[in-house]
Amino acid sequence: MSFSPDVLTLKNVSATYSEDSLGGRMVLTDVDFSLKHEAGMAVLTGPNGSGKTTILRVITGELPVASGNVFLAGREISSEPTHKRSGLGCLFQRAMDGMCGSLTVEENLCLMLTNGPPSPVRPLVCEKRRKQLLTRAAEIAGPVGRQDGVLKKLANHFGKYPNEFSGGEAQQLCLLALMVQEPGPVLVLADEPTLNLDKSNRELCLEMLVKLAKKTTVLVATHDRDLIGLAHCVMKVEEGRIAGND
Amino acid sequence: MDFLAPILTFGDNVAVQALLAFPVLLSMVITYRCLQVPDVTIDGSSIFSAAVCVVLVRKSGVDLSLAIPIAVGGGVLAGVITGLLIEVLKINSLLAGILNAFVFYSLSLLLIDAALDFESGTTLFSWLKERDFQLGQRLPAKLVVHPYMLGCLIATTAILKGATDWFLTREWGVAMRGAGSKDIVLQLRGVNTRRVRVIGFGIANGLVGLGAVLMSMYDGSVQVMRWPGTIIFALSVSILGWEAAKQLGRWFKVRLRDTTAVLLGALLYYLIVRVCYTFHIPTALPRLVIAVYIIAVLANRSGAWRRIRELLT
Repeated sequence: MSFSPDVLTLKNVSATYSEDSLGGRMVLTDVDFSLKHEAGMAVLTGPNGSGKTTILRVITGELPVASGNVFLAGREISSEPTHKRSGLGCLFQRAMDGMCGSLTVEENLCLMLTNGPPSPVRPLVCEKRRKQLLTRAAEIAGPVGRQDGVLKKLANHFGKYPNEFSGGEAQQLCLLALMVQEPGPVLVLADEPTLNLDKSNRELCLEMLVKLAKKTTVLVATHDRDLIGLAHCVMKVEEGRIAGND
Repeated sequence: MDFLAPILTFGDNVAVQALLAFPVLLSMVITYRCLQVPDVTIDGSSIFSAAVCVVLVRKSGVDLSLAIPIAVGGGVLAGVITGLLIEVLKINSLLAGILNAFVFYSLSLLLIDAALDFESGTTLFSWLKERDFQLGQRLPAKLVVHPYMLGCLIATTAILKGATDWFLTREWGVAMRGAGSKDIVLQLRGVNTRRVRVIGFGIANGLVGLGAVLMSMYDGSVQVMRWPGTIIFALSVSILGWEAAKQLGRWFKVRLRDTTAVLLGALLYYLIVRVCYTFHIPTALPRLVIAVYIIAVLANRSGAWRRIRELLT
């Protein structure tokens, strides 16, 4: 594994939801850490409500920072809107949240292959992107897929909508979308990606996450002990602060 | 061949009404289907565009080729303002539409008071009628609508439908189709979802403007009282079309595009209206029947019958 400093750096980051909610109380206070590995899995763990998901939301820009700085691959992104924070990928607790419900699976996956602002004339679904998806899906489904997995015969599922899949299948599709990107995301943020999955789908998603973490840095907020066991770095979050790391 | 006359008259009446309404219904594909907002702005942008067009033609003597694009631009402006009210000022989408419809309705009243006629020979349709080339005489029966007029409407519909279908498969168009639900997914792919929605409202209201201008020119006048309630008409006809398309899809194993479905809805709606008119059934009745039908369809889809049973037992 090659090492490069600062894939992600949070410097004394504090955040609050709004001045009205929680009486203006900070939900994150002086969060300070950096991920130095170019690839690998880092985990944020801690009790419910401790601020794990909030840290991810600050990184994506869904929640503005009240003070402090966020750097992604050396570039300060604290004040940039989410659509300017290129290089980020996301996995959600509810896998369906990672896809647009009004678009087909094929459109959702092709959307993940776009780089930069959308073009008004370029078609989203094209032969090149379709081929890229099918080839990569076959590569992944070979070693880790089950015979009945959604990645096998992916083309059969292209016309379906996300709500026609189980949570596990949808998470596999989201993972595929992240794995197939060229260039891949600099950092993938995953919020409890294995929660509520059945045993078979959970194992499959774990294998895919490990594969993804060999290619890029993955920051996971989770309680899942198996995921924590796979991580190169574990940070404990308590009451909106990083309480310690291993 | 004279026996064909009533059928042709009946048919082209329905077709023309449906084709005239098509641009307005197309806006529902963008706002209601893609952006998932029932955009009430169209109650104001429709009359505003028609009013701008008639004022430019009648009072300023502007040529139609310039007056129509300016009028459509008025519709775009109304839509963009609604988009900004929603996205920048964070006003509830329904409320923003209502407020902006009020604004543009008031502006229209200032422009034309209650009604203003196009002078004879100043509309697109009268211009087409003048260029007969004896085509009418070769047809089997006298049509209510001049064939050039029908041809012009069919061509406009085909261009608008083709352009919309094409646009909605481009990266930008797909982003617009997704922008009604998952912001974060699109934003992480570099899509400025706020901008997409503002432009979406603009395009939709521009289409409404075009539809209103065409309808007004067909009527020969712009009447302010005709336009309030456009959103109710457009939504109910669109939903009728989508439900009919879904049923046809089940029967014939095809998936009709949303743009085809709204055209189907318009044809069905005007067919029902025309049948009622022919048999002297009160014209309010088809609207009542369609409204009840849509309520029943939506109730069935949301599992209302089970809840009604629960309520009664």
